Amino acid sequence: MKLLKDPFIHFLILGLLVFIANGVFNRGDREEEIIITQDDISRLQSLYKQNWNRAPDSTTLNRLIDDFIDSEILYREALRLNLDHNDEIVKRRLRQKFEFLAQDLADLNDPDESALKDYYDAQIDQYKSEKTITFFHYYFNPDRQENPVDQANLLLRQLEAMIPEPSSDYGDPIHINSFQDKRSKWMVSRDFGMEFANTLFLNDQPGWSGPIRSGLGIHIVYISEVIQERTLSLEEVSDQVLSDWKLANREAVNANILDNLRKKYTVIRSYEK
Amino acid sequence: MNIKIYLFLFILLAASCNQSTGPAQQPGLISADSKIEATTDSYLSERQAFFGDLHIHSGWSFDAFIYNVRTDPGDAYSYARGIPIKSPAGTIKIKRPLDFASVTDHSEYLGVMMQMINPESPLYQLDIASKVRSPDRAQSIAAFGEVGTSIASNVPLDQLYDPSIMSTTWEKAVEIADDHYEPGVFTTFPGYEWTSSPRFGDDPENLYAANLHRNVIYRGNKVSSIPFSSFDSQDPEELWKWMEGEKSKGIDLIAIPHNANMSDGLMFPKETFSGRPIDRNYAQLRHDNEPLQEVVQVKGQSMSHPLLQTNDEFANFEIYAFTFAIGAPPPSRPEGSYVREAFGTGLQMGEQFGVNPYKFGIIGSSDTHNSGGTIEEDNYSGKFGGLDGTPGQRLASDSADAVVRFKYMSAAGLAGVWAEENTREAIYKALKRKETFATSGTRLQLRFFGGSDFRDLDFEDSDWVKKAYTQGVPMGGDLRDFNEAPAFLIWVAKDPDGANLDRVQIIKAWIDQNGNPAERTYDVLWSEDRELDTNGDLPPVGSTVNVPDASYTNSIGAVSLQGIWKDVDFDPAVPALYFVRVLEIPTPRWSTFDAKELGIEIPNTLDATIQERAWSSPIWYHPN
Repeated sequence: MKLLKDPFIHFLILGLLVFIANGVFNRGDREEEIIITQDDISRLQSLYKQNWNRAPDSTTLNRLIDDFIDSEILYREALRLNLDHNDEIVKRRLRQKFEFLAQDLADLNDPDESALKDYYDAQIDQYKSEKTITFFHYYFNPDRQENPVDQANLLLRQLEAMIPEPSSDYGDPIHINSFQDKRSKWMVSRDFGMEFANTLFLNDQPGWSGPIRSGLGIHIVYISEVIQERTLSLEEVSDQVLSDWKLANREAVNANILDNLRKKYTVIRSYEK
Repeated sequence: MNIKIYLFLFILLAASCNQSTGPAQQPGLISADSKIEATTDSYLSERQAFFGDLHIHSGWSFDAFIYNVRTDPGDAYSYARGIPIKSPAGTIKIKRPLDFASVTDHSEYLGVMMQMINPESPLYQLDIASKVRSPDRAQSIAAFGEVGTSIASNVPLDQLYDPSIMSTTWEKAVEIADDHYEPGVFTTFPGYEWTSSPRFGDDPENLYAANLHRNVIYRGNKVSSIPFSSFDSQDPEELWKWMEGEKSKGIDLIAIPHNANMSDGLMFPKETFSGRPIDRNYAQLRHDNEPLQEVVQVKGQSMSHPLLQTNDEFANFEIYAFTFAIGAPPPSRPEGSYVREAFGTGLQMGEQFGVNPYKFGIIGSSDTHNSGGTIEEDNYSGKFGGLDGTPGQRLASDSADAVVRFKYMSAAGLAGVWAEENTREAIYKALKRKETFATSGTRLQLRFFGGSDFRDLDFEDSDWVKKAYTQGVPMGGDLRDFNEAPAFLIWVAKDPDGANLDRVQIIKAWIDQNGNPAERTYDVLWSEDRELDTNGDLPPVGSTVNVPDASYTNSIGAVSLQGIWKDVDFDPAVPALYFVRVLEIPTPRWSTFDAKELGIEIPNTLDATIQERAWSSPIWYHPN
């Protein structure tokens, strides 16, 4: 049964199905017979509508049908004369169709738990949480305070003797929330500036600290919780692992199919190295 | 630091309350009601400022590729998030990540140039491909000339114009934008640039082209099957008509013009591209499809020009008045090329046609062609990577026109957006309702509301923003049918990693008695103990810049400025608009950092310092 797991075998089966389907749905007009069906007409109409945002009128539709017939005639004659051989545009388009086929095949596969776990273990460095700090702060605006650092120190000494809880009674108004819940260094620096974020994350002992200078003035800070960087469990990042696995699987399937196909060919490199 | 702030109230609120007789009149506040529900932790119902860049080119743009840029849109999004990326002149890394971004590669020849280094591609064999691959700068410039000329003369190079490559590349670009979207943390929008550059002049050898470029930005991954390119049409009206068709298929998209300053007067013209007088139909299409204009970026600002705003001492800021005509004698004409003039003519056209075609909000963005590197003054790495990636290349004494231009490029800009949360839904809605501001690269925050009086609103209370939204309309909004002068609320906080604030101004445009557009600038809030002089002008804030050291200190200026202003010259019968300009204290220009690094004098045509700034979107007043 191992064969059934090989993507290349899947690919061959899929290719066969496409081949059969083409045979069924293209109805096999005889070589010098072109049959136009209602399906063809609908397709022409919807293509036209897509480009022009209106349905074709009857004159236009007749023109489209005539053009469709001419295209079909010229296409068949061109194939008969082998004009598709060694044409770069045709090659590129066919290669693209081939790759789409392989991609669809890869997407059919869903990993089982152990495959996901293996992938997660191998890529474990990708799945880390950032260090965060939970804190609240009081602000002293240098536009309003003659000596904001002194003011901050004064309040700090008062608060150190009290139960720490966020309050709107202290400091100057500021647009940044007093309470900051589980903030990463970047989120802190986005609001307070880089100088403040660097200081906070360097001196991250729980409790009161300050005065700390920011791009906006002076702050005193109470840190209540520091969560260090850690590796996230598979359960926490299962969605991301799944989508990463799919991407990796797509690449692997493509490579596998191409490898197998390469085996069918002998490449003779008759050029000077 | 001892700073006094003047909260400048032209009319005390109390006074205006006492004057009202009879039942309080309820003037019309027209607010695009588009509140959204919370979907992420980043949600804040009073909205918050997000900063982003909606104009980024990667190596998938033909010109970037020719100048040796090999990064893709994924690299550009990584750069925006703070991850270092490769560039022709070495690794680049943004100092402060962005909140949102859109990579907008040129739709013309999208992805085609990459095939020129792919030996398996038939394009590899082309003559132009060997020029593109050449390490010689002259060869690159020649290749750029060929492709650029084809765009300007609107004749696609048959060998290069391959829609199948373009549509595959576009599909990938949309997929990459999706992959980099992280709701609540970092938002991406699929987009591309429609590069209409109509040629002018008669010299077939030279590229004389004006800038009518627009970025087309989609709300999400429901996008057009293939971008509209300037080869489909160079006429903006045709772009808008195509967009109308796309919208009827349920695709959400807007167009954002940029570099009006390089349009030679064509961005805000007197007649349509096809030579018709502007009419209601044109006004409606433009109004509906272009809610925003990008006004500041690496190729200068498009708000004001000293020849148009003759009384504005701050109009002469980062002027880049070239067209694409390398060596062309006439620079881009200022008339029809700057937004402040268009704001006025727009009011006129609104009266004439019933629709104002220039009723747009404003943003800044970068227009980097190197996937990043152009926003931060002290971290500027040039627009093109391969051509201007080093200080020596940028400040070269070479007098060739193309090289001279590097000196005048600007380390700018950013799009500031007031949105509830950092998601496609919330930010796109903010863009559409024009609750946006443009900055020259700084991340100062600017709130601006218009209303009848904002009575009992106190900046000391934590709920003042909520009140401002209830009692007024934010930037981008409309006021209608007032009996008394409206009040405007302004609140500015400095960039926490930037310079202090110098002043806040309100610029008003209206239609005068003769039916002509008029404009006036009011100083309304400022730092330091300054008084208006006898002409009513505010003295300069001073400067702390040490030029040889390329440094400054925040020992002057204010951390925040806020106040409420009433228009004493208000006439209820006259259409008008108001927007805010905020100036920071002087700081070193990017070229000053470069000169320090090179140990040379700053070229004497360049300013050693600039005053970084922000402009709000307007609030419009309609008499009825």
